[in-house]
Amino acid sequence: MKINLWHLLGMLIISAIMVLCGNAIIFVRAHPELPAGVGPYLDCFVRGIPGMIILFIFTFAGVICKRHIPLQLPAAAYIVTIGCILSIPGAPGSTGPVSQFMNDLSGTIMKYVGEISFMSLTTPVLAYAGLSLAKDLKILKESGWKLAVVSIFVFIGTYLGSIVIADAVLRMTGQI
Amino acid sequence: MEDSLQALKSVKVHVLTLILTILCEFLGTKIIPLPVGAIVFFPMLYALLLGFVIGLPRLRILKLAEQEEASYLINISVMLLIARYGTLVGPNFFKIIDSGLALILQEFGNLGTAFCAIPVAVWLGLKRETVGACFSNARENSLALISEVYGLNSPEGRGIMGVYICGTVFGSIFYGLMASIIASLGIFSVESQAMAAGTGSASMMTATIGALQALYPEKGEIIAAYGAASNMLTSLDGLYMSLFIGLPMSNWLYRVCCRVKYGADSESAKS
Repeated sequence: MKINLWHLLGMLIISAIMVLCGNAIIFVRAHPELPAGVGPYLDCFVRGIPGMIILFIFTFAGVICKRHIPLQLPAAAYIVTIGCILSIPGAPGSTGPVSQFMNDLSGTIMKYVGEISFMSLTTPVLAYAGLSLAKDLKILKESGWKLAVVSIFVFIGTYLGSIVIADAVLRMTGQI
Repeated sequence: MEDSLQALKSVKVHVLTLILTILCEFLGTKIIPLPVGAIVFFPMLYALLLGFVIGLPRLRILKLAEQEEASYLINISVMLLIARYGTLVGPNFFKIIDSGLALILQEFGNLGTAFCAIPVAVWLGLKRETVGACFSNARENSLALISEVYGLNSPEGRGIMGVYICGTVFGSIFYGLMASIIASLGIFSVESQAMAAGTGSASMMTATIGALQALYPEKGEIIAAYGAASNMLTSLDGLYMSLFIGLPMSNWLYRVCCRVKYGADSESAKS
């Protein structure tokens, strides 16, 4: 599915407005010493905009990579990889020009992106999910309680399976 | 192409989402302490539940088409979330590399799903639904895989849809609670639990990380870094892990369990 990039930009801007509103509310609630009124909310909203533009750039870069790289990877894989690579600081202890550049780049990115709390990005996603959920009510009724019971074991199996392996490897390599 | 235009112009869905976001953030995060750990209610959970109520057919607020548009918009808004993920991982890159082996190998732990869930599903009497429901943690990439291999209207498709919806609704609560309980057992290291938090779902990972951070505040940063890193790995490898290992293994395990429950000769009638 090829998404029109202008449509993508439009939808991202709408999501971003929601995220920045939520982010401002989280920030102001965490700082009760701020004066009352809409001033602090607006300040925080505006402070989040540069970080949001950075997240937009990562997202577009990811979508464009998916389009032009002939691997069957989802856009999300590229987006997360780009965000990760650009925010890696320089190698610890190194003072070379590459390390210096990486330090400056990741420092700048984190300064702006850090203004946006991670949790504020989740709320609009799940609000959209909630609004779309009722259409699957029939499936949920049909498959009934059995699938609900099975899903408990799915979650336990996924989580415990990973813990057991990670714990064993960390012990064997002497890291804990 | 038309889908994206429809979704962009879906003003009612956008306005409802904006109202839900603002309302739920004002309600704020509520933490209920329990003897073991705590249940954490994030604003995203209220948003999900209130959104579900708004969408109920008898309220006649949202048409089916508008719900389809909302489900399209999940995929868009999740991109910003995933971009922010990346910036959680990057600054801790060198710490993550140090425990790289454990992080990579625990990805195979996601295959524990099938061994834990398939016997239960067959015992409950589920048929081919079992394979769809139990081959993975049933997140979006698995949904995409099943819709390509079997179609979402097949028994396998119904299986994964059921677990997917349960995971969307109860996943964050369940993972938060399970993480608290398992942590309180004191058997496993914090680091291994943080690495297991990444299962390919943002809400599940966030709930798990939140529960672990509440119990080990002094290790908050490294917990978030490992969780985000393993979630990144899962979102990178999850689809291939499921396609090449999870799905074939689940089909095999389903046949074995059926043979145990229904006898040797019934398999041909089952599939």
